Amino acid sequence: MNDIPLAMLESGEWAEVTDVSGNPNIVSRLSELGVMNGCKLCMLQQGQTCLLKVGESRLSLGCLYSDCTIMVRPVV
Amino acid sequence: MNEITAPVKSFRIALLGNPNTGKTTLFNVLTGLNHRVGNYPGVTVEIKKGSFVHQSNTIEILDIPGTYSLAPRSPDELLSVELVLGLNPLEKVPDALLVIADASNLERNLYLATQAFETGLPVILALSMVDLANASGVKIDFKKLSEKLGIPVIAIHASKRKGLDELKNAIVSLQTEKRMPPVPVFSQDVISNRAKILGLLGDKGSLFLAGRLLFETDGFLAQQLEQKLSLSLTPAILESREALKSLGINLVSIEAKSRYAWIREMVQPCITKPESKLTGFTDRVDRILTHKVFGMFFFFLIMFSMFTALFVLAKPLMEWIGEGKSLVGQGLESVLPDGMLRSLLVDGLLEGVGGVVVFLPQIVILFGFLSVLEDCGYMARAAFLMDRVMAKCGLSGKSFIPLLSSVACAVPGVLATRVIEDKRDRLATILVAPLMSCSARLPVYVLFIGAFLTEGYGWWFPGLVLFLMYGIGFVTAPLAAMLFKSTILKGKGAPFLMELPVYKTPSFSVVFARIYEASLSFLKRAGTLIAATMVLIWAVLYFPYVSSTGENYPERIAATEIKAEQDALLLEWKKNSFLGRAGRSIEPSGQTPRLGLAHWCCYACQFPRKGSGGRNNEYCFWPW
Ligand SMILES: Nc1nc2c(ncn2[C@@H]2O[C@H](COP(=O)(O)OP(=O)(O)OP(=O)(O)O)[C@@H](O)[C@H]2O)c(=O)[nH]1
Ligand SMILES: [Mg+2]
Repeated sequence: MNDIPLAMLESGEWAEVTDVSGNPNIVSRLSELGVMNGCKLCMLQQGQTCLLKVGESRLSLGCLYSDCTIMVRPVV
Repeated sequence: MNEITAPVKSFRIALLGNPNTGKTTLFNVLTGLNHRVGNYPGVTVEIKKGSFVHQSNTIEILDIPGTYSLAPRSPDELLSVELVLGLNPLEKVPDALLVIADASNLERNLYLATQAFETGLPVILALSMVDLANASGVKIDFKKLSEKLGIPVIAIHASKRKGLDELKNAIVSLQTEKRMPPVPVFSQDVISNRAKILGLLGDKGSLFLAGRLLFETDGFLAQQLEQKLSLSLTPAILESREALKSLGINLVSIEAKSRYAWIREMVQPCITKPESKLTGFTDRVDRILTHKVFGMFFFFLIMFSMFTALFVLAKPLMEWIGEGKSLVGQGLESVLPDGMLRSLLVDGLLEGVGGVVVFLPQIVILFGFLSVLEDCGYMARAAFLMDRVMAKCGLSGKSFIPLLSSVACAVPGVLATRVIEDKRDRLATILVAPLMSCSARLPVYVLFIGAFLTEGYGWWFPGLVLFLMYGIGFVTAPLAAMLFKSTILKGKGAPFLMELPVYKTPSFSVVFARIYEASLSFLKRAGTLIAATMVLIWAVLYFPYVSSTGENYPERIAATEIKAEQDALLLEWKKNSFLGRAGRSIEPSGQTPRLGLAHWCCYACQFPRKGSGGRNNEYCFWPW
């Protein structure tokens, strides 16, 4: 299956992160929070500011897409 | 006592942990202090100290802002990290770290613990939220975890006082023994390169600092360290980084990858948990409350009910207080003889202080509402919903919580901006926070709305007007922020990144503590500065009570029975009083002294405000 940007993930869809790149400060903060290659996440609310479930935590991310790109592969 | 006790030891221990893991809750229980607790990340933004005695050892305990990692991104995190690493010039480095980890999200929380191990300080791990973890089906073998990590691991439930004795025993017997985790976190290549840098750092360094210099290319801390330490290190650091890169190691991701892999290895044998599902209470509620359309609807509904409640619920209470005031007034008038003392007590003190105390119900309701919103977990949802709106003004959702807190008082609101990562965003938020209507302005709104807009309107109308009055702040503050962000504070801020906590039933003691604190400081002010000011105003309105022609006003008023004559005498007396004269001197038309008189009174009101001096959580009373 093809990788898509996180923003294209529909609400309720699960995916595996395949690549996080961009501003190193943001990339490393995201990885500290568990958002890194190979992690599984679920899009809870899609949108310009989105809400994700990563592990046991709910993370909201906003305006992220200009500084940092997250590519995911949807899983079924 | 004639028992010989062991020499008294005294040491400092810092409460390190991710945001919202219950550090302050534990701190309050251990020390008996009462600092603010709430169910969203970033409640504590200052270092707070307290102490307790256990088995005749005095233990100083430091509550610090929560942080996800010892590589800080915002000023509140920096405060914690500097303290823990001994980089804070004002605070001695603690003797040990008490790491608080949320058991319902153990792996993420242990990330910080793995960094804490490398600081060289002894570490105790306390697991909070074990009740929540158990409720969602997670089982943790604490003993095994303790063996695996090589440090004491203690399950606590601070508000229920569970596990506290065990924790205190562990702290006391900890002494200063240092133990490293039995299994290394990083691969051999990383370890050897890090050791090289550690060697150059000398006795001031720790494994953790060496690691920071190695992994962080332009982080907060690395910059700071390079400034503080000699720059001769730079070539060695670059060389080590190159060496790792040539081995195909990605410096940006290696740290998190290695730590998480290590954590998984340690934790997996000690924990059983069900498959991650989205059927929990929080997820089901969030489907509506964070929804683009329904979520916004509920947001406005909640805000509107808050301001309606300020009116509808407070009204009967205010009337009772008003009645109580007149009862006391009548009582005083019946026991005291007519004269200066009675006038001072009834017209000066009772009217003045009573006129302020009448607004106590509003303070109680406002702070009650805010603390329920904070402690149930809604605050972070509001920030999430508002991020889209704030982004249009160049800010992020992180700025929303400080702005909403400013509705209570701007001083803690400004402090709360420490959670904002970006300097320009933070400054813009600080600049506009005072535009929000703080609770000191509430009595003024209530007074005016009550006087002009209640008769003949629906029950919801005053609440709506109040909502709109606050709305002015909610609209102008972001607009002003937009202005700042598009001119002097131009620049793209850090992206909005915030964890949303699980929903909880608000704790009664937390809500009560917040209301109690706000009411007490409100009443204190009413009882001290405002009372003193009222006496002063009463005095300048009372003296001189004999006119230049020798007429004694109080006596003449008492002598006559005709109401109109009494009123005329009273007006003449007040016009002649010190304040009346001062009022006339600045009155443009020189006719009635009322306007000028009110003007001087306003100066008097300014006086108590200056006294508030901007202390944290202090209730600043007068808005003018
Ligand atoms: N169920 C449960 N709730 C807890 C426990 N400990 C704390 N809480 C709640 O968790 C929330 C966060 O508590 P705080 O003490 O403010 O957390 P903190 O770590 O100081 O948070 P920051 O100051 O933001 O870093 C509050 O609503 C507490 O009532 C616990 O063991 N179990
Ligand atoms: Mg706290």
